[in-house]
Amino acid sequence: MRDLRTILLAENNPKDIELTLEALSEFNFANHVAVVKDGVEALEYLRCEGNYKLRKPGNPAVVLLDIKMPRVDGMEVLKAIRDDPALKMLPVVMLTSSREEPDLKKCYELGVNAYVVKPVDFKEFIEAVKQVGVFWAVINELPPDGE
Amino acid sequence: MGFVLSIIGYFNKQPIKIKLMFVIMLTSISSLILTGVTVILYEHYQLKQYLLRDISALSILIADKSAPALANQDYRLAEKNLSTLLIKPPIVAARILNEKGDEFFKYSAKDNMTITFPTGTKRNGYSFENNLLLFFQPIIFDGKQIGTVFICASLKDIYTQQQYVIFLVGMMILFSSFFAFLLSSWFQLFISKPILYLTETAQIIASQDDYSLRAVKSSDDEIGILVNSFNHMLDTIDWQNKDKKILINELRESKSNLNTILDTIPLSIYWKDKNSNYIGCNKTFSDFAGLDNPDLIIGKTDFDLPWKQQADKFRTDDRKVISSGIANYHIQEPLLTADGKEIWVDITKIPLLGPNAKINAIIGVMEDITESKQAEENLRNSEARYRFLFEQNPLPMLIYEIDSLMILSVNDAFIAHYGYTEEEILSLHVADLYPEEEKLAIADLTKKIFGLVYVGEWHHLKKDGTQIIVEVHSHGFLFEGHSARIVVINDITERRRVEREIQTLNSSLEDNVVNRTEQLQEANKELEAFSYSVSHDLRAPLRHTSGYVDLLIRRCADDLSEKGKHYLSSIAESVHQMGMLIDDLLQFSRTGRAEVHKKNTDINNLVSEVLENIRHDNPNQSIEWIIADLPHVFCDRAMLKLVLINLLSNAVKFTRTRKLAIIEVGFRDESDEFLFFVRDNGVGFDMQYSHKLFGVFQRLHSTEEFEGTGIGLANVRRIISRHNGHTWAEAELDKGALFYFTLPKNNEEKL
Repeated sequence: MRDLRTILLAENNPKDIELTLEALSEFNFANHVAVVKDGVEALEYLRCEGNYKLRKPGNPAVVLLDIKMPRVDGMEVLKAIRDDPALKMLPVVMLTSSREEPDLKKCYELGVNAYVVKPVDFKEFIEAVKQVGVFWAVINELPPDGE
Repeated sequence: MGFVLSIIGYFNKQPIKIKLMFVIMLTSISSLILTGVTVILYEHYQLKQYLLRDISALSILIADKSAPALANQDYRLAEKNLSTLLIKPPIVAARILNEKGDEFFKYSAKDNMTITFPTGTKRNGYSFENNLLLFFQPIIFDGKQIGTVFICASLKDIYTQQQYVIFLVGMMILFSSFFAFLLSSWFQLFISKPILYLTETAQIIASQDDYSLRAVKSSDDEIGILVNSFNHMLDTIDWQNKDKKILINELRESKSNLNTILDTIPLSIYWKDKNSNYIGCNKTFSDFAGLDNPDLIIGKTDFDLPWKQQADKFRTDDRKVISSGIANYHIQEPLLTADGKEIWVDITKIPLLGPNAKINAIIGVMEDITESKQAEENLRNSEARYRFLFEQNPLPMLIYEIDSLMILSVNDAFIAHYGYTEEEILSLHVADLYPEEEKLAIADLTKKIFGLVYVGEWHHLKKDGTQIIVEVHSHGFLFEGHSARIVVINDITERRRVEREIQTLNSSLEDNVVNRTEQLQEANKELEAFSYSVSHDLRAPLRHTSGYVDLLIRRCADDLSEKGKHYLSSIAESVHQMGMLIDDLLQFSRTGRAEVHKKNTDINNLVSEVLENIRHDNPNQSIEWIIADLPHVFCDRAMLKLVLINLLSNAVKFTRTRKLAIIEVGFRDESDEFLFFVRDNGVGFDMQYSHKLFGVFQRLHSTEEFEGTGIGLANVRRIISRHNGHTWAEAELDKGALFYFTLPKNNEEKL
């Protein structure tokens, strides 16, 4: 089995966090997930600032971003990542509740790598999370380090 | 003599070719015959001479030889000497006679030959007798004649030879004649052909009357000169003909022009001799006279024509003109025409001078003036009518003189509206009606426009000083000898006031519209925010519920009773249903708000895309699809796809109970729109509920029977109506349903 890399999950709803982790744990991804509660924390994590000053350096394999979050929302995080030379190549997947066309359009304009709508049905949800996890944390080749 | 003349007559009739040949042949044959005869005669003479010479030499020889024998009377010697000499064929007999004339020796070529010899001794010389040559030669011995040798030779040989010669000469003449004939018939062509050709040309010209043809010159002899002269003559004739034709054409043209002029001018023209008999007239006149054509007038008098009752008067007028030689202009009088109408005519009579400078005819020009007479009458009537119109017109009217601007006349409506008395107004200038600031302008304008039609808006003052707004219509005309303008005045003061009010109302209405639009846009934004929030926030708890229910079943199944499991699966079902409802509702709200992006769309393409999905989702249902060749339509592709998804998946859904579903997609071209339809053989619906079909959350079947949220058709209707189309359906319970929608063709313009 390949080395599993870290997945950063930015999600403010604890139930969603729990359910996402439950879904990921079905495939043994759960131990490799870093969870942040909003955009500010997500950026702190990525830049190793604030609470995450002491974390092991290195970018996660993928960032799963919810759009609706307090303080700094998902799209703002995405924009900050793309504007940051050290982060701009990081794969970002929007994991959100609905496919509102303006959101979809804006995310792609900002350079999102994928946009996944969380299905209401839990079985479908598990399947979607699994696919995202397998693809980004296992199959996909990361951009070279040091960028 | 008569015969010769008839021969000459016959000869004269023969063509020149025959004549030529005849002359040549006659000449050559004559000379040949003459030559032949000469040859024959000469030959005859020559032959005789030869014979004579031969016989003479022979006789001399015989005479010489026989002399001794005769002298000695030695008969045997004579025979011996002579017999050999006498064998010569032409000699038929010979005698030697002694001096007494007795026969001493006798020789005959043939025994039976009897020749009577002349007797006597004196015979000497020769003679030709009876085809015989008789020759006498004296026998001289010792200087004296002792006898005579007589030889008789036949001329038969000569004749034979002669015949031969004649035959030869005859043959020669025959062959020469034949040869001469051949030569002459060849050579005569050189002379006869040009003549024949010339003759032929002359005949063609004579028969076709075509003087543009020319003879071809083929020699430089007299015939050549003749051809030249002939052609020259033709040139002259041709020229003359052309001149003549031009002259004739000119004459014809000028005559026809004259006739056209006479027949088309709207005047009647006639000419009479000095006794008032008609000599001619034009068509207009003959029409008045009731004649079929102008020629029929010749020889008639006024007594023969429809106006015979006026004939005496007309003839008196004619005589006056003829006797005085002075024209009589414009006599106006009534005239009775052939169709029984009495018309008014204006007649001018002019005397015509003949070649001897005497008046011998008269020309009359007559004009039908009935209409102008009528027009005069009408004018009088219309003047009265217009006067009435002016005086009784409900709009104020005035007439003023252009030069002085003095008011000449006003109508009752003017007096009533402006408050002046008639006397007062007639002492005013038109500029007095205008406020101070317009007085100068109106005076200027009057000079500028003079007689033209004018429409304009001005201010007027009533007698009491009230200022009114007026719309004036005016035009120049001649009024009782003055250059004047008539003015129709329309007081539009009230109209202007109302217009201003409407303007104010309109502008406030525009403000209202702007406000309302802003409010509407605000509401729309709020609605968008609301639906955004619904899509995010309403789905989250649902997802959580679904997640935890699933986890409960998954992780804690052992702790749950069967009832508990049933409850959980019911919760899961409801959550699922609610999820679908939210999705559809959001979709519905989106189709109402989203902009319609129309572009040319191939409906076939859309249908096959939709069909692919439907087949994929319903792999076990056997469906017979009947898809027409659909048109291109100007529409929003994504929205129309949603329409087709809804209608086709409905058709599939409601035919699920059929063994073989038959679904048809077709269209009709309805001039300004396309009518599309989707027909299925499914369960259909009761038409009495058809009005509910397209409403939101309206369902005609229970969810247990056929799943669904009741939003699909509402969406269809919303999309189609946003394309300016219509939706409706027909169905029969258990027989199938037929859904229609229309899309206008000129969708582009309504964008």
